[in-house]
Amino acid sequence: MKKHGLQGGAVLGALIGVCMMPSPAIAGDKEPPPSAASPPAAATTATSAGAPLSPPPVGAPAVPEATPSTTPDAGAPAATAAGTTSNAFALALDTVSAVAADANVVIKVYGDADAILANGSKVSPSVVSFGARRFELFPTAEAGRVSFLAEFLAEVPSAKGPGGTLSTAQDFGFDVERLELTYLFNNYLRVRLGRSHLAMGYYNDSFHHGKIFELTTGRPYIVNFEDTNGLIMAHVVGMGADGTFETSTFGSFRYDFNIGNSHPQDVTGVSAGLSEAKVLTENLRLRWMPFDDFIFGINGMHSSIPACPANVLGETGGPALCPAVGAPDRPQTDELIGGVHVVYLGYDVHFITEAYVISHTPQGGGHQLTYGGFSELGYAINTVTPYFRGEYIRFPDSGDTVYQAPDSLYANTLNFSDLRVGVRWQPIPQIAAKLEGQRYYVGGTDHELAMLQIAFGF
Amino acid sequence: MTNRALACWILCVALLVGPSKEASATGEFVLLVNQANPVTSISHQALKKAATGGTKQWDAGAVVQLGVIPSPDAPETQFLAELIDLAPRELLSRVQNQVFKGEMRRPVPLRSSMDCAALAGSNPGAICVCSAGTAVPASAHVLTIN
Repeated sequence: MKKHGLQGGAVLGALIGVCMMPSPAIAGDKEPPPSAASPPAAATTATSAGAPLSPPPVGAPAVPEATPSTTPDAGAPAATAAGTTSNAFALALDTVSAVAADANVVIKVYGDADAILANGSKVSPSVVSFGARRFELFPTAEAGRVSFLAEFLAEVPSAKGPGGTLSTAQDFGFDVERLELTYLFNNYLRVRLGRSHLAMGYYNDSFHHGKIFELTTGRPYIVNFEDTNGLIMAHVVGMGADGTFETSTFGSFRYDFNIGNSHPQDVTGVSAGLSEAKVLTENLRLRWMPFDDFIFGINGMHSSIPACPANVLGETGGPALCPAVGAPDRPQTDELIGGVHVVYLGYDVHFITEAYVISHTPQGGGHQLTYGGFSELGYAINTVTPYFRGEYIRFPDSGDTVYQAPDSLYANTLNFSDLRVGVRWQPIPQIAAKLEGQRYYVGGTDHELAMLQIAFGF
Repeated sequence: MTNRALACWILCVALLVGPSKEASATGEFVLLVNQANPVTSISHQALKKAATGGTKQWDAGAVVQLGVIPSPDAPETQFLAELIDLAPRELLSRVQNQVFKGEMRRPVPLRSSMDCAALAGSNPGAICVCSAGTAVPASAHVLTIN
């Protein structure tokens, strides 16, 4: 999940151009209406907004007002060379916008800001600091049975370093976190292509980068993102399929299957291009939903981590990313992950529990087993939800070849734990404020943090 | 006026107002779907799945398309939330979350019951709530709730 700052600007520019176009007056579905009769005038009102799920402003026109056209004005002065370029860009943007309008593209924005109180110099050079770490655009589009979504995230990296130190990175990086094209055949089969969150456990593909949806201020470590101390492969580039089967007696059953690129050599990244590994990642998740809002699920995943010579440096020329613990090189490593999750999200109760066993088998070496899990519990009282989360990870006695590189948070760690207690307040669907205390134990030392986070989604 | 007479008046008013409130919660709103959708009745559980992305396609083949007034204060939204045992705010948050997860298509934002009638009449997969007094187009029909 390495950040790319240059191409991002162009993509963002195009997206903002698309965003500026008036939404089309469509019925929200490209399938033909059953009758030839034109819908009443209200139909336009009902369906033209194409807006995110937020209340329309009082007195706002039913049909969005036209924005100034980007088409060159016929009465404009003769174009200069720069003007010609500008006009060509405007025409291209017009074409892009026309296609986007036909597909009914809607863009939402998510982000968050926070204030952190740390326990002094043990984890951070400053005791109190403020952050504005994430801003993302979330375009979605639908055309009949095809749907599209993407997450474009600008983020200040926040991975913790050895000994649990907080990151002091200051610059935004840009990343395409999800890019999915989905075709719905029926309830039993939906096929997805692109970059998505791996269907592993519950948390990983239920919560993405918009913090407003999460109960706490951050993801559990075990299912955190690759570049933020996560242990599982959070993102996969490849194909996926899912489907749900209803039964009258035993509730619903669901399957999710992924096949895609394996880890890249740098395990803090995502293999979004040609795969560096010799084998593909396969992942299967099965869920049983015997009654409303309850999920019991299991999953298994197989992947591979390419060999990494000790002299390969980090992207920024920093310390070597992947020397094995106690060995000069990291050999190609086989990865097997098994997991189980139990979830209940009804009657104001929020309960998620997940457990994992992760096996790494370096070529010519033995199994290295890591166990971990977390439990998250909250209870909503109107707009306020007090919560608790506990997490524990046990690394192998001999160390893990992949997770415990010298510059890793988990270097020289056998037991890792994280406890969080907090309260979440969501006065309106678009804003969530969280006040949280966190105590994490890594490398034989306890660290305490308090965080106030304001997350938004519009 | 004696205390007994006052209590009698209060009781009478309560008896008159009580049934009227009940009617407003259960009898003044209806679920609409497209006429091409052969479903005539739906259970609370099936409605919850359709409204929150659990069911993605109707049996007849049309893609489920929820229409909702995106305000927790709208009586139509409150009615839908009550049917599926959620608070209106929770319903809207859950829908927003399901869209973000990619589990359901974006709901069509409505502004009134008339919008619901228009949506149900024009979209083969539509489902939405409108007030019982709304004129239902010939291309839509009312869904009974089991």
